[in-house]
Amino acid sequence: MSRRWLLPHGVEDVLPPQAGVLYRHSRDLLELCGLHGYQPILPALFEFTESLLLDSENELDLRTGKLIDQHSGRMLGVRADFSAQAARIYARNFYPDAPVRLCYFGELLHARGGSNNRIPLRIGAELFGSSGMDASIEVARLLSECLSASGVDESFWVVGHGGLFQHLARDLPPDVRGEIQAALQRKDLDEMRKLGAPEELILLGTLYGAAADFDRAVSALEGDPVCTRSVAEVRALIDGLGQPAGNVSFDLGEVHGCTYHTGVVFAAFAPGYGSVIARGGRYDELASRFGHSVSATGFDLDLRALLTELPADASNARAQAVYAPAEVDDETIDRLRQSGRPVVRALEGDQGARACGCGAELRLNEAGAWQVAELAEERSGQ
Amino acid sequence: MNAGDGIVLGLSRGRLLQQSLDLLAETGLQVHTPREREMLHPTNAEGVQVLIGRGIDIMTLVARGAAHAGIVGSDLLLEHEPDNLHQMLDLRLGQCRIVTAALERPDAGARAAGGKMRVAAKLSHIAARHYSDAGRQVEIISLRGGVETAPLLGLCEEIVDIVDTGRTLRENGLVEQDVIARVSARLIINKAALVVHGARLNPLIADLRTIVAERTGAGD
Repeated sequence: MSRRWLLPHGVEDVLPPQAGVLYRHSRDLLELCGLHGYQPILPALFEFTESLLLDSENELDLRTGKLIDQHSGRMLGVRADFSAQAARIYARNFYPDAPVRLCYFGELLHARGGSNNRIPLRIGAELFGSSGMDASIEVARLLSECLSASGVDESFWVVGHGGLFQHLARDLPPDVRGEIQAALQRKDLDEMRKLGAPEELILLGTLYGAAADFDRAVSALEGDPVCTRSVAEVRALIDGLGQPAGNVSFDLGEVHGCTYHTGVVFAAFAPGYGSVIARGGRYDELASRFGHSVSATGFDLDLRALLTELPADASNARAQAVYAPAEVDDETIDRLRQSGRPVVRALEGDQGARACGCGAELRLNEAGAWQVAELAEERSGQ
Repeated sequence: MNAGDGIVLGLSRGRLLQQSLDLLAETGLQVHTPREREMLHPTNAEGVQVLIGRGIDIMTLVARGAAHAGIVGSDLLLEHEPDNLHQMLDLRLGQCRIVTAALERPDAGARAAGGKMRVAAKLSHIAARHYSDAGRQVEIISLRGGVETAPLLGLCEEIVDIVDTGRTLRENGLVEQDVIARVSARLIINKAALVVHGARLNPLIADLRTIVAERTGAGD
């Protein structure tokens, strides 16, 4: 037997009631972003790889699933990240308006086989055309609201800076730079030394810890004006997050996976999750690939990873559904549906309300009108 | 991820175990009488448990967040390149090396038709990467063990294996060729754990860093 029902590694369906929770919650989060002025966009599922891929991002290249366009013969890529798409949409449709706030929701494809979640379901927001720290603080605080609305009661934040590594590694050959950055990301200082990393880069790997220790730790970077400016930006975001002091830390060696970040970056974690649940940061050079140099900052958050924490208040819709026997008139059914109550119409041969998973059914009362009878109540009375 | 307030340290079973326990004891962390059939062991530190298992399982548990930190050989990290963990510190324990080796007197008839060299390896990813980086086209034969006997049986021309003294290689008529990597035990930390449990983990990391520096006479 071919077992054709099996899905590829790292790919899964979402079933009721979780799928209903995901749909409702994603709508709620988009509305939350809308309340902050972020307009929804629906980026294309795939486009030419030259638009999606960045010269400096080998990892993004490996993650991007590719196919040949049978129309043009050119190489297409299925998106593995939203930021380049949002930057293209801003640069070609909104520029030079500023600031412009965009948000989105959709699936990505991570073609590389190692991950257990190869189709992350992301919701995110991007703010274009503002280079100030107030913009970075705005998106980080919006992420914090989204996490709270997603049932994450306590989050832990790490703030870093994507520009520090780029500045300190500017004279290194590109291939060595990539290896050193990979070693820095795993805090493997011995490997950095073996690769010939300069001392100031190795120092970055030691600059992490609680926010309370930030000023003392970063005094080692004093003297270099670019480092001083970067450190001040990290400090401003730490202060601006609005999180309890004990829940904020800094890590100047960690950019959480994306090399296109040019300024402050942040990542959110939560107890019970073994990996990052959301991340974001400033990426001021991405849009220049599409014709305009634009300041940009944003975040995204993986709803699939958060599924177990999502508020499930309306997840029991199936049990609340009302079973309507075939004789019930359309008007009665429409009225119930308009009031928000799900109604399931009887089908020929079905086994009644309970077999259809309904928690209630329509019955004729003594006056000859259709009335909802809650089956659960009836059961408790037996 | 392990959601409790406490932390779980994973230690690799085998020759690294006693050295790891001794190292932790130097930081003041005593593991209470490990029983063979139990995996989780209490310690003298409140909220700190030690998990003893196979190195590859410890690496996976830390990468997935089921354990917060661990001690594993760097050969596993090189072979599997796990995401989501920091390789914080070379503990200088269990030092050995990954090498290529070949028969001292190769049997000319053993080479596969077509001329592509065959290499037997337990660490097949490391082997493939080494020959690829050297620009050599080879066929990697993945074995779970007994790699050193493979050339004698005519299965391959070279092997990639972990070597401590080199005695096993010599006993099988093999001579060491290239050193691919030096191997030693590493302290690994789950990236999320370092953020969420930094207050507990950072002092342990600092203590271990100090002890290793004192032992080797060289600071990081």
